[in-house]
Amino acid sequence: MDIKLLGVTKSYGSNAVLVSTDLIFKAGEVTSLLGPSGSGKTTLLNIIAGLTQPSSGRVFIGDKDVTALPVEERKVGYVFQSHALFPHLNVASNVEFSLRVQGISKQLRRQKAQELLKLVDLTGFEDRPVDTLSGGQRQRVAIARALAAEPSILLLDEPLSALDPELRSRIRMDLKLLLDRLGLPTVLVTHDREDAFALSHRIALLHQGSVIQQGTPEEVYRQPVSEAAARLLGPAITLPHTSGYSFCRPEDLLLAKPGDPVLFEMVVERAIFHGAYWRVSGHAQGQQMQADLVDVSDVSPGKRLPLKLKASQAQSNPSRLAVCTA
Amino acid sequence: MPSILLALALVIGGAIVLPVAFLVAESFQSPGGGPTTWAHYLEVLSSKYYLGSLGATLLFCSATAALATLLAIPGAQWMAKRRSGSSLLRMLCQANFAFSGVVYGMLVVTLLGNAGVVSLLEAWAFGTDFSRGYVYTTGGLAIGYLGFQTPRAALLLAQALERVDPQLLAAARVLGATRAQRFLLVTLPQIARPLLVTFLAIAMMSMASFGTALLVARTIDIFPLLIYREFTGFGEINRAAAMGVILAICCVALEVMARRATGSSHVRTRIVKSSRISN
Repeated sequence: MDIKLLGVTKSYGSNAVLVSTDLIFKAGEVTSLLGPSGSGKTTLLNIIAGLTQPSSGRVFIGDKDVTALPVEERKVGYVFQSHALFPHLNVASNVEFSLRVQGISKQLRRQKAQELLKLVDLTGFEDRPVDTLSGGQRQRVAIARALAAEPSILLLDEPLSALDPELRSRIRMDLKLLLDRLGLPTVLVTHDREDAFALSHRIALLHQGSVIQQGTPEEVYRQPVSEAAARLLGPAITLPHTSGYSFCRPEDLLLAKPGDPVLFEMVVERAIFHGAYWRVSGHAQGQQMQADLVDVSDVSPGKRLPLKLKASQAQSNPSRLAVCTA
Repeated sequence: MPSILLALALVIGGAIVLPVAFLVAESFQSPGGGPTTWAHYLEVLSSKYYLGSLGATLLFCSATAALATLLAIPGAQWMAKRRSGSSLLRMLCQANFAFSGVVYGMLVVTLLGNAGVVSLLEAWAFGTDFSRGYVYTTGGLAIGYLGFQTPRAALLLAQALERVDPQLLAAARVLGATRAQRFLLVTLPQIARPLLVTFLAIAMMSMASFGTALLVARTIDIFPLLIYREFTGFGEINRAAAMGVILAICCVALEVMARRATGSSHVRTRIVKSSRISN
């Protein structure tokens, strides 16, 4: 079942939080809403859930217009950033909550909770108080609780932001496997591009309340439509272009050998060793830039490094704004 | 820091410990400065009149405090959610502290006394006089008590309700809970302990006050009122002191019992923190 947003806007007084937004979330796909704080990501998620009413526009779940439908009747699964587990209930009771409010018998509730806890690999945790769980476990309980209502769409608000950095990559992979297994249309809010790349089939970039680009992770990374879109997904270097400008990424640059065409001569300001490469920061042609260089020996500050584009990125092409099409 | 602690100790000592010590010492004194005696306690505890008054007071104050705590919930929620008019409501509740029990007694007499507004309206509209003098019944006394208990309970509860994580309520909504289910299944368990604390605070406050009872109590002998009469009317200072100590002990016992009763039900209050969660 697809989810459609048509011309959705949201304003608080004169402050426009969302500007006319059209989006489609396809069945079986995970779509990330990626943007900085204040870009309207969570507002958009709350509009889909029904927790916030749009100022204008319509929300469809399948063919049904749910814009005016109360949140209680929308059948959406929502995993909150803080997980919002009920602290006075144990794991099973949290998972059963939606069934309890529907008046389903205790026996059926418990059976369903056990099935869902098995799905999220938490069998045996039924009677545990939620405050004894780890961050990853709490997240899985929150997902199981959201799934108990048999939602038509799953909404995840910054699902990994509460986790320690070292846990994050492991939980990210667990979540990826789980979302693939569920096959539900899923909308995920994040400001972390690694989360978006790892978990999503599609990414919608939000900037100042507008969707500025959407596409597959590779499309939005490789072919940003604007400087704002390019910089949302990491360091970007502006390249002069006859019909405007384009961008490349730090990993697209190489140290030019004698005789190679030199794109930039970067003055090194600092360099950090990352094991497989050096991330060198500096400036050239009036802009700050970064380059991830492998075959470099001297990266002392003040050193001038001649840089070129990788061969695969250097072929010239198009008139449209795209990464490394200079 | 030590000087602050010293100042605090002096204030507590001067305002609470010392007077209580004198009160206890006074309660063991024989009239006219005779030897130390338990006589005043035995006198009170063996008297049907005093014990009956004590029991009725505890029951009446507990019952009205419980009712006031429940009645305060809607207003407290209104204030906690900062809905329109909540500032005015908070101000009115706070103004309640400026009114003594006697003033509440006067207000309730104005409303439900022999020539009260309600009585006059009833006579004018129906030609009957059922509500005439209602203020002097137990029900009328209860209305007087509820008048000063409910706003105070609302202020105390509003603070607890403000701390209930709104995301828990949003989560319950998304999971399909109706407004009533959200209150019963999410809010109420979150404020169970504050509800108890509010009930106890209001009950204690009621047991200590007698201004309203002074004006309108005809059916119940409110114990603090008896203490007042012993002290000012009969000059029985030692007996009044013993009665005061007994009332204080009863209040503490009530609190301990209430806390024990609810402590076994695994009521937990917690503010969900959005801090980082480690594995």
